[in-house]
Amino acid sequence: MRAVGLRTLRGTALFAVPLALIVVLGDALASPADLRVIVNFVIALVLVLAIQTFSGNSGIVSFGHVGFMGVGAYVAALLTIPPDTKSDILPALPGFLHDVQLELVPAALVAGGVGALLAAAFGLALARMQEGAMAMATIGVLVIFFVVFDNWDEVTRGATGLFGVPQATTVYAAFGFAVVTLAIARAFRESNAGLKLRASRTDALAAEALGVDVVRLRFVAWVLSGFLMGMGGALWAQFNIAFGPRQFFFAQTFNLLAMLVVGGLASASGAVIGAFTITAVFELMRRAEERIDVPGITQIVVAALILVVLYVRRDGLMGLSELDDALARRLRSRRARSPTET
Amino acid sequence: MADDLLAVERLLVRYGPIVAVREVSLRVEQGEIVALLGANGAGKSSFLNAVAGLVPVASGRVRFRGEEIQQLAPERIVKRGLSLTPEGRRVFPRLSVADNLRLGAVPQADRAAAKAAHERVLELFPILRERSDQVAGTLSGGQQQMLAIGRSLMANPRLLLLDEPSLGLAPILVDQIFELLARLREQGTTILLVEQNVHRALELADRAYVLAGGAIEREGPAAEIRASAEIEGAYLGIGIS
Amino acid sequence: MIPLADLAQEAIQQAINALALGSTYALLALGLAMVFSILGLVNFAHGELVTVAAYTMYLLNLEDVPFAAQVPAAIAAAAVAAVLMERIAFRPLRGASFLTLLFASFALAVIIQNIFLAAISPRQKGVRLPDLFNEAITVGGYTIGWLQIITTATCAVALLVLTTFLRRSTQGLGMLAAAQDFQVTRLMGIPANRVIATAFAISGVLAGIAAIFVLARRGTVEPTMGFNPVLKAFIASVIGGLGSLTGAVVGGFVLAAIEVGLDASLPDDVLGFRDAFALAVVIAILYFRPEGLLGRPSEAR
Repeated sequence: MRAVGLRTLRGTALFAVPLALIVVLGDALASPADLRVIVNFVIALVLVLAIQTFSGNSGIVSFGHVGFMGVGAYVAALLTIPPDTKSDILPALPGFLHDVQLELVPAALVAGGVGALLAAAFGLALARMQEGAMAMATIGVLVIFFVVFDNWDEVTRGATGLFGVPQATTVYAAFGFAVVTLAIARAFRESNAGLKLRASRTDALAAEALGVDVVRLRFVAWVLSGFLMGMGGALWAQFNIAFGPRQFFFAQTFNLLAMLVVGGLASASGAVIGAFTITAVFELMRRAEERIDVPGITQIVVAALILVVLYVRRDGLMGLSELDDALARRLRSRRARSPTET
Repeated sequence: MADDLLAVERLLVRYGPIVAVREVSLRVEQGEIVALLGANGAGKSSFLNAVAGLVPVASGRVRFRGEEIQQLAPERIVKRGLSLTPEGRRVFPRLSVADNLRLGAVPQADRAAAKAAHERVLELFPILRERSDQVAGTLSGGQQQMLAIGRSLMANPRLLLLDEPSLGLAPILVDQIFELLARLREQGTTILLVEQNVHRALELADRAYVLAGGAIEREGPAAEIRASAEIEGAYLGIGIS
Repeated sequence: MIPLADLAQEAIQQAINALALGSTYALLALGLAMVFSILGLVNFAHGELVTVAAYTMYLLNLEDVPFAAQVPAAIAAAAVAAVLMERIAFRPLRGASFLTLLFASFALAVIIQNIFLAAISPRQKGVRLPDLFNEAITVGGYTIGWLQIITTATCAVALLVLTTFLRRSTQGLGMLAAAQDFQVTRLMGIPANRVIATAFAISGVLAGIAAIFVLARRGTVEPTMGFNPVLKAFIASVIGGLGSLTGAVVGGFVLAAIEVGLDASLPDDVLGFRDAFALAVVIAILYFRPEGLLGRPSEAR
């Protein structure tokens, strides 16, 4: 158990420190537009780590998580939009929902809770499925959520979307959530549950023979990631303040999965590095596109970059290891330099 | 030697950091049956797969009929007359017996030769003629093995590589397989045989190599190997029945 | 109380609709399954093949090329695009994990969409189609659109031709074999690259044919038009069993039946949620039969 705590701490600190630096410097020196980029990046960390918690450990790609992000966003919106605005835009809202108005953290926690509940509901059906089938079913989850967001006018205003969400997510709040999410993702990965789940990734049959209850572990990972994703969605909503169902569909899924796949699905480090890389490239390209004026070039370059990274490093930039583990190994081997092999 | 059908020099096969075949040298002369023996995991299958081109060769040379083939793709190697019947039968389960055989004939460009090969296979394996339209996956284990070997023979190979043809078969079927291999030798097909059934393999083969841990432990005429194996008891790790 | 005769008539009318819709889905799903069965790759850029074919027709339309000439050109364009796709984007990734391949195809789809966006226009563009497509015939109280008839007939012919090719020709047998055991197929002297390229070419042809009917229903082209078709294709394939060619066709018709059935039976106020219900049905199917209706149990990926 001590090893879990140590590695979680180590892994979190390794990224939290430079992240803190970025956040502080950004807040002090960056233009409002650039600060927006930073905040969105930090929020993306929460989202990508949430997906990583499930997909990275179970090995099952999930297209459905953005649905939970949307749930979190809509729940947070409903809980934080001022009642007067709600009267205008959502007249059919039931009493208690109309009256309530929460602060950032409670709203995010409730959003996470709802995410977890819905994840549990879907998880009952999905966790039992075989690996490939479950991956396919997650597409179903995504589309189901989208259709509900798009059609449940009384609660979501359908395709028109919601606005008027107070912009409560500061860069520091986002940072706090990101660090906590990183710690949770890492802790889960290193825990017994996470380890067993990762074992089942390479050989499900062998893992089961060892007594690993793969179904239950997948379910746990799925619900945990649903919670984190809902929380992330809440943060996102309370920064971007207006949104519609389209924000929680395939484009967003592609963006987040790109970060995860490029960085490396198997580790929390991969999630962080991937998010950073994609955001950086995207921003660079966006500025270039403004000057070059070729529409869509940003998307093309980002997608092409993803392809190139996949050619060169099939398991993503981080490969299969956590960054702090890899560094520790290198340190150890340099120090030891003895004939004994690992 | 110059008239070797197959000459392998210091073949090295690697799967990432794991070395499966350690600089193995081996030769097969025209018309003989050579047995490649060894325990599980000794590298026998990797060796055959590398010769047939399915697995990349890290270093070393494979010369077939004088030509170096270690860099060639399997599709092109089989066209040169080297056929591999892989381990585990591996017939195309949802295709008929006839279709399986038809696919085996693909490398044979000459129509007349293809027809002759087909007749020969049906003559060697009458059961295949009977069950021509049956879906291959529904055949028994022994019948599938016949089909697999028959399929390899459709291209009239000069050299036939066989990976554990008797694996998982009942003794009476094992007898049939080995009788068949002897007949093939009579008909002029050269055979490199990987087998765990050491006893039968040494009875049939002209020469044998023993592989352990990816390297050749010993080699020589089959009779010699057999004699020394009996002296050393269960040396080879598998019971000599 | 609805008389039984009316109910039966309604049911048959809906069955006719499902048949035509199912034909399009079947063609799309089959294209996807062709590649998956051999390579294990779910090609999300398959929708872009539809887009390529449709835009080819749009561009030829602008030059007043007759429709009869547009069709083969569009199909050829899609086939060429498919082969290029394989050569440039997927061959370097051969052997990579399922997720990497899937994601690469996703990235490729984004690239192609944006190329059309930049090169032609982000907006919808109308395409003039033969008037016949809007006409219908009435047979014994049932309305059957000419488009529906042509779609169903084309699908049937395409399936027949493809089946004959696969089962009778050596080349086709080689592809079936490759889907069952790729390594051993190479041992038969059948070149891996050619098998794969042919599979992609066929998937392109199928996408091109489907594109005609997709376009006929939409009337317009736009860069993202391939998204919905590939999603339907994917869902249909999953229902029928990924990797099974017959399953893809069956899945296409089952999906159409589910959609048409829900359209007919859902009350008006929840009709917008139809796709959600359809997917819930799909999840249920996967729950009870994870390998799909016609898939093989031990091979579920």
